[in-house]
Amino acid sequence: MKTQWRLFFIALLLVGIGIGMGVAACSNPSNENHQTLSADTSNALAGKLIITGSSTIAPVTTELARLFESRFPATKIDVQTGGSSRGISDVRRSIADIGMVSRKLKNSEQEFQGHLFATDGISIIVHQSKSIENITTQQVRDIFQGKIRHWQQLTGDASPLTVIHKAEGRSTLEVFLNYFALKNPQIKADIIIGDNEQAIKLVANNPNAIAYVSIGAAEYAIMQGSTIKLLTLNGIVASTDNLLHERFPLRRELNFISRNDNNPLKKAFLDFTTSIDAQPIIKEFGFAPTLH
Amino acid sequence: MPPRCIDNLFLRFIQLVSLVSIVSLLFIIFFLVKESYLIVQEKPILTVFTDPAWHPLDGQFLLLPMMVGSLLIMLGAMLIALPIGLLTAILCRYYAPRWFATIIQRLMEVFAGIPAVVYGFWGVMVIVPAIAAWQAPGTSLLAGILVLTFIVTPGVTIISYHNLSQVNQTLLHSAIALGLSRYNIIRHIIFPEVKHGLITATTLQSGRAIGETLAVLMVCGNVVQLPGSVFEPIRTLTSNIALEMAYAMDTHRSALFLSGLLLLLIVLVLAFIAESMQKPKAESQ
Amino acid sequence: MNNLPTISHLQIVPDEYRKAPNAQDVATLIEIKNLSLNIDQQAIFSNISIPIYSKHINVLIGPSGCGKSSLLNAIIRLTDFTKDAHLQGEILVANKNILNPNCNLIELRKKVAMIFQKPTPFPMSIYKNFEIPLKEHGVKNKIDIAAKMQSALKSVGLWKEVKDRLNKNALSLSGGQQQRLCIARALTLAPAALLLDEPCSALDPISSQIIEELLLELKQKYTILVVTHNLSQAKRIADYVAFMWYVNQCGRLVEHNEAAIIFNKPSNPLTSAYVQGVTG
Repeated sequence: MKTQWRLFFIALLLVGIGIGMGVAACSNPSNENHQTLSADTSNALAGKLIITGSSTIAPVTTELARLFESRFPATKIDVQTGGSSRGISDVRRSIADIGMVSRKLKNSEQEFQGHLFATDGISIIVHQSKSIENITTQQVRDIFQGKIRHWQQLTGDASPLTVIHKAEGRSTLEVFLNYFALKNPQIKADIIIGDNEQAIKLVANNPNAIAYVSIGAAEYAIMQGSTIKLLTLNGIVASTDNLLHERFPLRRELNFISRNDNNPLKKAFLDFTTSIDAQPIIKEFGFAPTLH
Repeated sequence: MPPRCIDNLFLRFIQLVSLVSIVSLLFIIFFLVKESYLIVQEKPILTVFTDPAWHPLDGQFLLLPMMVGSLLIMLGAMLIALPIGLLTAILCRYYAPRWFATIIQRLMEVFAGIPAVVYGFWGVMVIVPAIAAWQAPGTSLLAGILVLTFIVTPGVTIISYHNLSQVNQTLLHSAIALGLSRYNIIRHIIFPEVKHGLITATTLQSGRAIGETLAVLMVCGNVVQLPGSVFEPIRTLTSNIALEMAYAMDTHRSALFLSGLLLLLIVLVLAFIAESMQKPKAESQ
Repeated sequence: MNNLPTISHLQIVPDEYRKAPNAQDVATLIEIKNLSLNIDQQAIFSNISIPIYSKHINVLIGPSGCGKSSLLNAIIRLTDFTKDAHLQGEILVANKNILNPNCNLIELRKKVAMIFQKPTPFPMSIYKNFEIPLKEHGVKNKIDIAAKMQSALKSVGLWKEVKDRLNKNALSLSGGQQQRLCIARALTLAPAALLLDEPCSALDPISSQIIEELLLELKQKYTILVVTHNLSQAKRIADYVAFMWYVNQCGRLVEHNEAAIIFNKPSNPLTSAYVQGVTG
């Protein structure tokens, strides 16, 4: 082969591999026959569940699944992420048994059985060094629409604001836009990122940045020594405790959704997620568990 | 087994392997085209240049700023990395004492082996705040170019060094025997000899630069816009895919595959440019 | 070569080189004195002493691997570019020891030119092949460059063949023409000596003959040292011959004398075996 062609192929291959990996990371789980239940008594639970969806819910679900599996050794629970939308579409196509959806179910999604197992709050975060503790709804609206571009108007600091926003399709973004009654094209951001962790890292390294992240993720980062702080929203402290008592307004539901069918394993797992045993785990992730 | 048989088997094996790689390549292209088809069906392909903005959930699919972003950080990084890499290689090969050259060589090999995401972290912790202190917000085209420069420079240096080592030794000796200075030897004898290899190095590393995703995503700010200066944030085609693919559905998802396809086309064009740059040399011989 | 006597028969390796008996009154331009070369602790040649007589053709013969080419490289310090190469002894060029660390290598290489086994024109136009070294050594004027190129090309008999294609790539010339171009290029720097490392081994017989004739002519003006494998060539052109052999892979000088003596009545049986073995 001529050099040019070899080069050309190598270049193609590199891009191809890159894209291929990206695609593989978000492709559908194998559609194997997993709905085999060997017994109908809950004492002898066995079989496999596939759960896909929101990356906010996936880590806590994985922990819950691990505990559940240790209780019922004949069961296997496979948790995969890919966003709330994927959770819905996978359940709709029967690829997954349970979908993880980190928002309220829409009207078009009433075909599913929702199972609200926890609540997550979204908090505005800034760098620890900023002399600001509270932020109002109007301030957030102005900041994210580019009407306030300078810390001067908030704290008196002589430095420009760095507004961190999320990429289209993230459920944190949807909840944020809904609460503040904004449309995505109205947003004027300086940085757009994907997940909570990235937002936290950027704010920790940039004293002039402002972002919104899941309260659970923020509390965890602060525990790990991150130099961020959570702002109170209209005077209400952003904490797991306030979430638990439904005092913090900027929040979202964490739902499991599934089809209306009689799968005893699925029912057993969903019940488990709202049992007393599951609560410490859910709290550990910074979410407020639902009590049934 | 008779050697002839082994030879035959080996040939078959090589043919099989190359067939597999070509077929999988075609498969990837086919897959990209198939997945992009949905968006092309709904909107004319030119909308990626003419739509007012990138709001895929509201049916606006402007990809132009991301194509420009990808090209800009690649060009910027290569413009810095190429001279640095080449000069480092020349320094190590012809000027520096051997121990120094060995240290640099080993270092470059280590740097080339570090995963890009590590450079990304480093960019977030060091480069972005440094730029932010000067021109907010820090996450910018410049940050992307700098991080990418660090990612591709080791490769450029290693390939250049390798090329320099392959310069015809007798030719080199005859230049030395004519009492030529090192500068003139490098300029008149070595550089023309390695030009070909440098184009190869550039093409390969450009491919790596434009394909780089995570590190770029971390430091570029990812705002979809045509940057007015190097201090403004940009989004690349690869970042776009990585940021949104996990949550994308339907036409949104299809538009992301289309950005993959566009990336492929850009790489193709680059490869052809590299090819046409190599031609004149081939003809003169 | 299996029928040659082994080295153990011989009391070779003279500690002191002898000038060829009838050459007492001939001037030497280069004197190699007790020269040894080690590369990475491996001895390549050791204790070599040869005078190189001015304006004569001095020929170095011997089997492959006995260090002839390395000896040639040592004279213009090309060995500096070999990893872990270490020279010991003296090489006097016009009575200055060039192994001295203060030696001006550019001046040395201007004074002593080297031609390689494989022709080494630079892959560019014929004119550029002259322009680059001339400019390096201070000839900036185009008219001067052209004049020096023309006279050098004439002296190697290449002018007529290339005068209409000076802007063509030098690689488009034939092997013999390329080799003569290299000699001409070396001559433009007005060297005192020409070292040639098997200059004809990559060439066809006719081109070889042209080069041989050229060398016979050039010896009027230049001191010439040729390394060759080709004994009949050595016979045709040599005034003085040094014969090298190796002991334990290390090159040694066996005998050095006038060509007629080496080829007709050498004093060392190894020399006579080598000379006859190949001539048959």
